[in-house]
Amino acid sequence: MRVTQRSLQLSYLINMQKTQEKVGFYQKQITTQSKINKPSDSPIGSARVMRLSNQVESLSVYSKNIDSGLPLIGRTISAMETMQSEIEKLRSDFTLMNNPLENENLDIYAQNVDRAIAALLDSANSEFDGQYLFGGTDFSQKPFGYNSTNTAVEVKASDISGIHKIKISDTISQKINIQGNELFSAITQQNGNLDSGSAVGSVQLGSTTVLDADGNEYTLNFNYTKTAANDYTFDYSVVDSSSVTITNGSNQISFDPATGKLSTIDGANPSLIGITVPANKLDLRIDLSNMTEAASATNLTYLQNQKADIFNTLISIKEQLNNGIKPNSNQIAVVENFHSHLLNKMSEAGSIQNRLENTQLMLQNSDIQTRELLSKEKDVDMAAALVSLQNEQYNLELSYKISSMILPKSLLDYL
Amino acid sequence: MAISGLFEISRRSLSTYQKALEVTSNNIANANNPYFSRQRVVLGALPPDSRVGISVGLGVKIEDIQRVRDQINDAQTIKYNQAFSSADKQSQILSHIESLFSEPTELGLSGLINDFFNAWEELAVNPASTPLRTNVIQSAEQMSSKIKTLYEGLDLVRNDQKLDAQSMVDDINSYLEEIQELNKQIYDANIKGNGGFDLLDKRNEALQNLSKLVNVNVSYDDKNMASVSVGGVFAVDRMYATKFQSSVENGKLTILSEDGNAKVKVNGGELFAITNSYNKLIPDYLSKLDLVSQQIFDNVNSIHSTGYSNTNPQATGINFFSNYSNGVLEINSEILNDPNRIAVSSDGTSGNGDLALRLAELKSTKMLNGLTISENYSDFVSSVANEKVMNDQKASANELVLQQLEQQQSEYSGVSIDEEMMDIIKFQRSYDASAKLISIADDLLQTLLNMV
Repeated sequence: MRVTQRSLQLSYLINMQKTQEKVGFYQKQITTQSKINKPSDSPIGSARVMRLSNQVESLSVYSKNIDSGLPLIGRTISAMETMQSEIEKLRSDFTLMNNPLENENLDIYAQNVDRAIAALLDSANSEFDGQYLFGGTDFSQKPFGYNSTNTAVEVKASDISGIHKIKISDTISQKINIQGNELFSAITQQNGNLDSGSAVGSVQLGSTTVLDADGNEYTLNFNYTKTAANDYTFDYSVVDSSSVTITNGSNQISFDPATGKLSTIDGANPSLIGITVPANKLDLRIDLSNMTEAASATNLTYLQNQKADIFNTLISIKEQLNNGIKPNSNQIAVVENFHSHLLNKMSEAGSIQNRLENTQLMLQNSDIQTRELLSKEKDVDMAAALVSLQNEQYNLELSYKISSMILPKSLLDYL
Repeated sequence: MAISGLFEISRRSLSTYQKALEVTSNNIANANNPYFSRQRVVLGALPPDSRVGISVGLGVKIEDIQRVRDQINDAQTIKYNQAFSSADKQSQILSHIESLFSEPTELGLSGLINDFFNAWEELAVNPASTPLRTNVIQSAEQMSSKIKTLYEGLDLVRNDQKLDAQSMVDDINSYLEEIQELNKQIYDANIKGNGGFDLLDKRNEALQNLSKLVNVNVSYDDKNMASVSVGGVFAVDRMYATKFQSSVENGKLTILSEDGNAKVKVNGGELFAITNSYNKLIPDYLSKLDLVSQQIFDNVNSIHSTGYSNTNPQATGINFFSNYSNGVLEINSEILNDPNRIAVSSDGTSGNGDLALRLAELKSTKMLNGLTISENYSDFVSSVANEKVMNDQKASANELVLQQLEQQQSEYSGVSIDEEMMDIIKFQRSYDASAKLISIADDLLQTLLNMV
């Protein structure tokens, strides 16, 4: 092989260039502390880094959402504890007032009931961070208040059934409120299948008992009349003990042919059907959301959270006590029923709180794991990079030294 | 042979070695000229005088001065120059494009899209909150601004390619003119019997430089005249030189002859990287960015328009984005003026954030090609990165071949100082000896004269 000055220079230059490139590579890694500084450093790695970075950000938002949700549910529990304490006192009063010796003190018990109503109302209108705890999703006004004649408590907000959800993971949206209607309203939930194959005009019937604020019993009758495929007319009527119909109504309901689930009530998204008869102190809701349409019919069943609303029952008790009349058994049953219902809801709120706290822990673990993966993908092993840099620098220095020793030499130097 | 013959032999010898020393000096002077081909003196003996009985040579002469050059290596260098320059230039352009993405950092579009959807998640916690609504608008503005910057950046790089192409075509025209001129000079030198070696080296340099710019085909005729075609179009020989121009036809960057009759099929050299970027790569990237942005525009609006605002009176049917066109994702000006126009309530109540949750879920919803918006974007970034890696690898492979070819050429045609110094000593000694011979011939003649 013929060796020329230029071939020697080229060879040195090419090799030194390669070593310098390596030195530059390790220097960049050390200064940025990142293996991937641009997508082409590792196309797959950078896609993974983008995904993992987004995951870390999302986990941080979920955690932040939980941080915001926890005080809200905590405040809800605290408000329900206040209510429970007031109801406990009332239950105790109801026991005491059975003593004939207390007959003369019924007005004092009436005052206690009045104070309890005020406390319950105050708790029912509690708010946190501008959000009414029992106002569903309507935060525009206090959910409960007295009517214009101060004789009854009514729902002031447009809708207190709204579910407040927050996103706590990629797939879970967690409810963080106890809706006003599920705690305070008397809801009759209907369950069962309507026969999708039944003829138009066929009817399915059912009935249950409800109470007014004075403890009077009424019969709530329902019937579903098929009008077309997947469409029914839902008729209801409330009949008193003398078989007099005090109110009735009708709604058009439709079921989704694919899933069989209730899809609309009067053309809109399903919501509670309200029945209010102020003259009879009757205020209740019908929930059809669990009704389905299937190949065969089943018996209709009814689930009631409570038979009458607590505020107006207590107002009625207070008025009766002021008139020297003790609460009847149906009224006491309504209070007892509300108490156990309240405990159930406190337990539900507690379980929401637990779930949020557990999810928070899970998110913290996921965050650590995701950051670890991100670090493995992106971060530089500094020790290894420093050793490699040092090694390449030695190579470069050696190369410089040898080239300075050999390159200038030629026969000319010895002539 | 008379004594005077000795003088003649010595004179020829002195002039021959003087010429040989000139050639060697020229070699040494060009030892570091990368395009120089070393020249070699071929010495030969003068034929003997046939008029005498015993044949004695008449001295030395220069038979030839040869240019040492590996033509096959030159042809291969031209071929690999085209491949290397194309990949290297493409890699440079992609590097510029890649830097526009700011990935993988929190300033990249990936993070900003994620932040935008995260802002909806946060809004669901308290849908009536003005700060959280403002946060949604700010994150949308940041995302929209990045899309615009990215789009404008890509567009700018594309326009730069048009300008680069024009200046590159000017360079090509200039090289073609130079080659034609050198062809003429080499032809003249050949007629005069002068090898024109330095001219050949200069023409070779021009051809090598030309091949870095565009795909060329070079052939030589029996008079060593180079005939060059560029992308299948005749470009230059000794008599003619074509001029080229770049122009944009139907949105495509094309290279044409000056009269517009011949279209160059560019498939190598830096010009290929430029036309490929202008005609294919960047439009493809712009359409991918459009796709991602359009997905955001369509999907966010389709959900948002069904919600109710937090205003009094409430409004529905409001689009969150008012328009998307050419990288500009416009946020509805009504929303910019009043964050309460953001419509996330599905039932009209102020605390309902159902739609905020649905909007946030778009982040993980599979859409076009079975990918989420982020995955589509990530796919887009990966395609740029992969293209760059592929071109880097192609450039490295071709660079290695070019380095080897250059090494081989420098070994074959390059000047070795040692070798030249040996020649100098050799020629100097021969020169000295020839001078001494004159002195001896003089002594001989003097001896004879003294006898008279």
